Amino acid sequence: MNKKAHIFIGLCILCAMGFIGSVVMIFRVAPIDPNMGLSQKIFYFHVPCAWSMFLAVLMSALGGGLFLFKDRRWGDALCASAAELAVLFGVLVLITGPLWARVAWGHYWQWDVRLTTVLVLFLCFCGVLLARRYGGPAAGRLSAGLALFGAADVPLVYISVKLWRTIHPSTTVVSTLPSEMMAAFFTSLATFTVLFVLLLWIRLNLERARAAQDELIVALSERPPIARARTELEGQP
Amino acid sequence: MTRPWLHNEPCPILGRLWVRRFFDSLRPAGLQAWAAFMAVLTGAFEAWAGPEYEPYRPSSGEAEVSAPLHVVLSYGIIWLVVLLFVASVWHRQRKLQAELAELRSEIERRT
Repeated sequence: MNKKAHIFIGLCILCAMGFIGSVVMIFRVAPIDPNMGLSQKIFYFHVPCAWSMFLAVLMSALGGGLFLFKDRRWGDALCASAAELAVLFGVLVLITGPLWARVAWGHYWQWDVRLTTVLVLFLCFCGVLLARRYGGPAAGRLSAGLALFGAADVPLVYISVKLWRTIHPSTTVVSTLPSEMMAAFFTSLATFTVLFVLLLWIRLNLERARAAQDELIVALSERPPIARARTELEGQP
Repeated sequence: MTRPWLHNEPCPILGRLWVRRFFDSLRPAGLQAWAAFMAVLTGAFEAWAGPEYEPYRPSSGEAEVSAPLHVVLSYGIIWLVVLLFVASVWHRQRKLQAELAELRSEIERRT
């Protein structure tokens, strides 16, 4: 096994241990919130999912920028891989959030600014994937442009709870948590970050295989079939 | 499996002038324009969401929802979605490896 495989297995073990540890921390160590009750436990999964979504969006935009402006091929691979993770974690945010909201607010969904901007961000990255799938020859550049456009929504999502009156908890809520809750939250956050790195790793491997496939297709198109080559040679004077 | 844009064919979308202008406008030189755009967007949102917004307050007559069920559901769904994603990547990787092997054997046959 090479060094990369060792690192990958190490990260897998770290992630598994992190998930076991975070479940223990969340359900055993962290106290039940006196205002929200047991439903507040969703916070420990929901926020790390949103954090991973932001990481994916920023990675995708970074890759898109490098591909668009510096013409780096690996930027395209990073953009595509991270965009898929942005959609994946976006789905998780948009599922865990409404489940929490149903208990806390009595409604699955509200057209609140924070919720709406996250939905817009999610839809932008669905657009990135669609452009990549059906964009034809310009798919890479189109999706890179869209990823950059979508990333412009991230600061808006972050500051939305400060700029507008909203029902969604503020970003400062983490700093006000008691130490046990804070420990559980950061354990979960670190674990989700490791999970994000692992998923990005396996997704980038897929892009590497795709790049190899593209190279082989080009190489194959440059080599005519043997039968045709013979006919061409025989036909020459 | 064939991808025509790999064979140096002209791109029908990027060749258009307005598409080029769009991508040119995304270059770092256009950061000020982006900042202005975000400021306008922020102002528009504020004007729309500011004064009339009333957060939802549940009425006392509504049925209680099960918090443990929602916690278990959210944690379970996270795992389900992640596992589905990993399975999908694994499936795509296997399919690609088979195609790569086929392409390599085809190249060897032609060489």
